[in-house]
Amino acid sequence: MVDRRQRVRRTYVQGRFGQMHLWTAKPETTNHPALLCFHVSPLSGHSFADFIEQMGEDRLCIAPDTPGYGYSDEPDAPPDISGYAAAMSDLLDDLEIEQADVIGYATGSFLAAELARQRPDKIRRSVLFSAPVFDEADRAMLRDRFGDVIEPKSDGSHLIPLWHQVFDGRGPNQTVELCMFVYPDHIRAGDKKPWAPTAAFNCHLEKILEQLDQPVLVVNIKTEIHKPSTRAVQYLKRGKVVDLTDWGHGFLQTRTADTVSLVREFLDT
Amino acid sequence: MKGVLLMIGNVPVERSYVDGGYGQMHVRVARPEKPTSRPLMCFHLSPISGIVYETWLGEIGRDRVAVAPDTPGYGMSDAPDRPPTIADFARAHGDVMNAFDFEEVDLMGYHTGSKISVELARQHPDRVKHLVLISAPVYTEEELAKQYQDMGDVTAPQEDGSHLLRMWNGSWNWRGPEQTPADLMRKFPDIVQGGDKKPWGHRAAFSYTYPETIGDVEAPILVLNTNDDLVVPTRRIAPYLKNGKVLELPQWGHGFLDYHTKETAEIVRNFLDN
Repeated sequence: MVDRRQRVRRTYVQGRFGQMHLWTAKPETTNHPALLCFHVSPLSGHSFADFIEQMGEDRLCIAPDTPGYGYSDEPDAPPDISGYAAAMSDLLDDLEIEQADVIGYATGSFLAAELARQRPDKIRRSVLFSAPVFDEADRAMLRDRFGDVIEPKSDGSHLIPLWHQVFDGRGPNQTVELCMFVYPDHIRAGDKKPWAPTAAFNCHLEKILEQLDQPVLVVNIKTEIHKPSTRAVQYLKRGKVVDLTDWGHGFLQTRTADTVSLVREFLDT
Repeated sequence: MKGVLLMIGNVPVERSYVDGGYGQMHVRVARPEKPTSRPLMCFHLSPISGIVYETWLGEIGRDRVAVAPDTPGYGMSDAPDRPPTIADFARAHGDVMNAFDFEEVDLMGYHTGSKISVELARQHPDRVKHLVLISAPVYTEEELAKQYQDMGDVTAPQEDGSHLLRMWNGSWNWRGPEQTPADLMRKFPDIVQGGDKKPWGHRAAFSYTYPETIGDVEAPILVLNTNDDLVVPTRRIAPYLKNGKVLELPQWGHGFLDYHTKETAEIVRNFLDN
């Protein structure tokens, strides 16, 4: 269910993996770069709707559903992070976007950073909500927790561990209602659900970050990847770090205005 | 999203948006290279979305433009601000009809979608040429009260996730003979989203009763009565059809559009095109 918002509109574009579903918001005129927002998988661009409703007051905002999630077609085989980012690189060209900033959230941070690496000609600044540099223990924990398909059962019992994947990691003020806001997208990808998270678990974010000449803001919020994210700072050439340990999952709904302020301050000064 | 039951020769189903009175309407569309029959609009049951028609569109779209919109508040269509009536829903789908420039159209409606079809035919009697109704229930007062009680309420989220099991079992108990847990799981995201607006479709349907409305429809009506939760009340519709008949399909249940696509297409094409 989509609440009608004043500014946010959805649309489809044709991409290398099929149809890509976009959440967009824009003002009548702007002199800001566009802003691309990459969600945590397995959610969707819907998680950015409240955020881009506000950010769209002064710049074009686009929150794609990562291929295979939300309402975007899935690839034929699991891409790596570079493959997902290439689809977003196509998007920049197809939409004739000359310059853009990027935001990523957890797995979306990998897409954002890799897109910035692939397209220094177009990507200006990056804001990464969690930028996890994994060690092997982290990878093992995350693969164990999120890497498997939970097969549907006739008694519905598979729905409960899927619910706990959302509910147990909930952030401050993320109510059961807000957990149900994201749960449909959490389960929508079916047996493809682990693809993008697995691409992130397999990726060495530090190798991407150390190649970035553009400014990067890493925001360390309190989630299951908080500790790995604190390792990112040492790999940033032009980096800034903010620790917001009273923020957690759901911040895009529970702290929308604060997120907008934080992002505008970094992007526009 | 591409992982539907694709059959050889089916046309691809694309998703897009058109604008309507409530905001954006999300639609699934199948288009043949050269349509040889009138367009078909397909309206889904509550509380799901046009996803129930994905396989069907690929088949029926071989010879006509076939469109399955998400009713406002379901799938990816914008939600109304207030609880809508069936007439409101019909007007929203009328907006889709206009957006596609359909001068004439056939309609197919599934449960709540069946009522939307009847109402749209009443709103546009000159444009709607045939109706295929999957169920057309005539309820007793007692049945209506029980329906409202069972399906007219919000299932409040619980910390232990038990609300999900209630919603799953509510659908699983009425599954068709061929349906698997994977089939239901594909549709389940659209079933559970909606929060406190989720029952609005059912509530609208319960307030729209057939005897007072279906008799206004001059266009031919074919009622498909499969063995689902509305099989008994649907048998009562026959005396109210001015120009129609009921086809009993006792071997089929929910999911028949996925598992009996070709047989359904033969029945429907025979009715729409002759």
